[in-house]
Amino acid sequence: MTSTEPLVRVENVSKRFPADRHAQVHAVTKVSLDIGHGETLAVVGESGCGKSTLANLIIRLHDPDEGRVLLNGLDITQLGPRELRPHRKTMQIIFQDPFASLDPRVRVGTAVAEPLRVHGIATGEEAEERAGTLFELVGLNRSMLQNFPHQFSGGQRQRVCIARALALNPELVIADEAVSALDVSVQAQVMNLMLDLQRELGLSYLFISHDLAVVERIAHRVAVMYLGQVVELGPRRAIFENPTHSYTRRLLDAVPIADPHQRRTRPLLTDEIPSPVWQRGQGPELVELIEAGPGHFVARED
Amino acid sequence: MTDLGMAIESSVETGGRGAFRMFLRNKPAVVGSVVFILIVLVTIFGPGIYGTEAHKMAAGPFLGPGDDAGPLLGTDYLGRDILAGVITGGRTTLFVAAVAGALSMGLGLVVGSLAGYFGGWVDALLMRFTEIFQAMPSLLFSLVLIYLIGPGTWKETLAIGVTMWALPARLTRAEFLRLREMEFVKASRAIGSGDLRIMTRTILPNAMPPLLVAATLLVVIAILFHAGLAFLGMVDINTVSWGSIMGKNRGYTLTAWWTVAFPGLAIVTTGLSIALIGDGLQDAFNPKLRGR
Amino acid sequence: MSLLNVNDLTVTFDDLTAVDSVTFNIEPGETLGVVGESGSGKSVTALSIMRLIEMGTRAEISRGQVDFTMPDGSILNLLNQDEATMRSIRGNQIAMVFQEPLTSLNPVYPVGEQIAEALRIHEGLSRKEAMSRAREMFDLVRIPEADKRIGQYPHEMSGGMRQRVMIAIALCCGPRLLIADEPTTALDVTIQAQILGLIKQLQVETGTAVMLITHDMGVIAEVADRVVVMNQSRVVEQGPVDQIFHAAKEPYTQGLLSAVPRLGSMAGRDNPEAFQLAGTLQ
Repeated sequence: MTSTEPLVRVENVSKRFPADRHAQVHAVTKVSLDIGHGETLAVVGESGCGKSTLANLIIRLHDPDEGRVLLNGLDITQLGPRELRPHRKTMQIIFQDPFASLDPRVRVGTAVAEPLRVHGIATGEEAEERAGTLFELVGLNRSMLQNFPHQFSGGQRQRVCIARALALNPELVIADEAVSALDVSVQAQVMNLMLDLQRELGLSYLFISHDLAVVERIAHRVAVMYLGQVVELGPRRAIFENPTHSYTRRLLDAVPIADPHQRRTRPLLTDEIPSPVWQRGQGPELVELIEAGPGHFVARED
Repeated sequence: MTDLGMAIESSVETGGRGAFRMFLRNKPAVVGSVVFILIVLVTIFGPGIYGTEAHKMAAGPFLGPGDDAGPLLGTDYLGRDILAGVITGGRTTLFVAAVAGALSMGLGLVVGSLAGYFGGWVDALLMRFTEIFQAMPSLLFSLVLIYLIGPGTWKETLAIGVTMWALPARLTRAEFLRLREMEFVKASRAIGSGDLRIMTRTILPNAMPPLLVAATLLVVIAILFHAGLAFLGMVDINTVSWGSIMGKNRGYTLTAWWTVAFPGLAIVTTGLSIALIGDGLQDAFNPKLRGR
Repeated sequence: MSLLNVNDLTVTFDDLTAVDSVTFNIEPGETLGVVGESGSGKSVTALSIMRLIEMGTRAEISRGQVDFTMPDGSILNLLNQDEATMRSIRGNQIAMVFQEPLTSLNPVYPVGEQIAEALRIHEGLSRKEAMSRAREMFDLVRIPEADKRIGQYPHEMSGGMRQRVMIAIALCCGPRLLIADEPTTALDVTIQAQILGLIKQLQVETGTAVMLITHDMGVIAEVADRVVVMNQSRVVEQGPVDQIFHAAKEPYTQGLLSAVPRLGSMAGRDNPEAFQLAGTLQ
């Protein structure tokens, strides 16, 4: 933990959704973590582990059932919509599907300038000018501002989404599987862009992904989630070079390595990912994180 | 969310029993079924038990319901027993509705599935043909048909069935168009299934839920249609049906409401019960709802 | 003698060429990895081999041969066969596994019946015989609690179990070639590892040749013997897996490999690093 205030502090946040009359999905259970200024925290895990719900809780698309989220030291979980508004600018989110994130009938220049207008920061030519600067920042040509989304490739569209997210000079960009749907060559280019932007603008990223090889490239710190809880949290090197929790190891062992010299023999397992659904009144057993190294926390296992 | 589903559906039943149980959970559908079964039983056994013949004079004319001199539901302008008419007339009405519904459903299924499955010129040709039928005002079309082929229960059934098949044809086509693009159809072809097998075994069962509802709807429409024809006097005058009772008494609607109200009530009740059954069937044949 | 010889295969959609002069072969019992990004033509190639491409689309196989060696040693050019012959080959000689195990299974039938269906088509088994063979297939693909699960519907199973069912359907008639089109892409990483392990194991047990189509270089590195790299409808490069990964000649392949995040490549480095893109991506 650094002595300075982190950009985002998540404290004991939980979120449950009703599954039916008798059961609840325990999507996120007592999660605590920090995101520092200018750092990338990656959250990894498989489907149903709660990583996207966590992102939505931080950006207040969901309200937590318990716990709080501090943004620059201010508790934003208690703020009403109007009080929250100025803080929304600080956090932006980009999603997996750049095709679905853009309105097909709106010129991308208008889409990128829209947050500026909504927040009353710039209008008319000024907004247009700012959109052009953003386009150049994400490696698109200014002349493309007049185009419609269908005239862009998937990678270009994700760049448009990034430009729109950056319009309000956010401090935190949440990337929810933002490179997962892209072709590998495009994925690498978008990740390089994200790294460049981080260096130039001092951005923090919350990088939600299921792909550990991608995470290894981009993260400073990593949180491994399993069934709604963080089971291992620490600096990237600690997680990848000294994975301590059995689930982290299983995840890492499962990743196919793009090198035929490192082939693995796979035992014939038939595990299934357990369900995060519990009868009302019941819930998952809380894990207890213990410090395994500097900044490296691991859930205690029996 | 599939894993969620799995956890909840830990004790799911499969096969026909599951469908039946799902149907039973839809309370309105159960009520509809009970009412419909009662109606069918009454039309089958009612005339024998009740005894009075529907087309014969039973008492004085225009006796109201509850009138001590007459039968329970009163008499019409010729003194015919309305209750006997309702009991007897159901037979014809239900027969016509069921057969006309089945006929139009069958025609629609064949045309719609061929058009939707094969697409291209087959689709274009069959759909233009369907549109011709759809563009014609159906009641008028039925009237013309009956005028040409003459009255009689079978002929009336045919005249109604032939005018209704455009609806199931379009619905079937839409379902086949949607389903033929599904991965499991490609997968079925990849294991070596032929066109006929894919149409009947792979696609059709998946198209059933909306088609079943359509089928029940067609039966209801046929009931109303036949009533309409009978009301206009375009049916066999020697056959008693709910519609024909209303038709014969249509001049006395205001003075002797019971002559029209009770057969009408029978039509509405039957139609409603069938519609409720259709709703229940839709749930029952959706495997994803089972076990919830 | 190769099991499958694809020669100069060309497929067009209207004016667009989806597969352009593609040539490769598959030996009996080997795993050929076909790798490419979206729009590279890899899936269309697979569907063309099965002759599943023409139905209901404006696609046309305009040129080439697909020579398949039958069990009796005769060679059939699949592009010249009538639909009845193709039906007897599909599922029986060449089987296919698709990407989405949920949508590839028919939602209205229990999974056991769907395995039995293929057996009844090709081997004319009775319902009872087919179901008992389906039960054996469940054991082959290592589905636990087979007796219970054989009666389940697809939506009652997890993605990994559904893909096992798909593999069982594909393998139940003992095909000599299995075409797997992105079989693990829709699965979670731990489940993907299990399915890859299963495919490898079954290949050893049954001797089936596998054509594995994927966008994932990691999957290719893990299971392929030889690799065909496709880009923009064409084969860019092909060769043994080691050669492709460690001595790629074509700039496109070099570029692709430079963009692949390789687990462990960041060991010893404290900060995130950009990809050093090579080849055509420079």
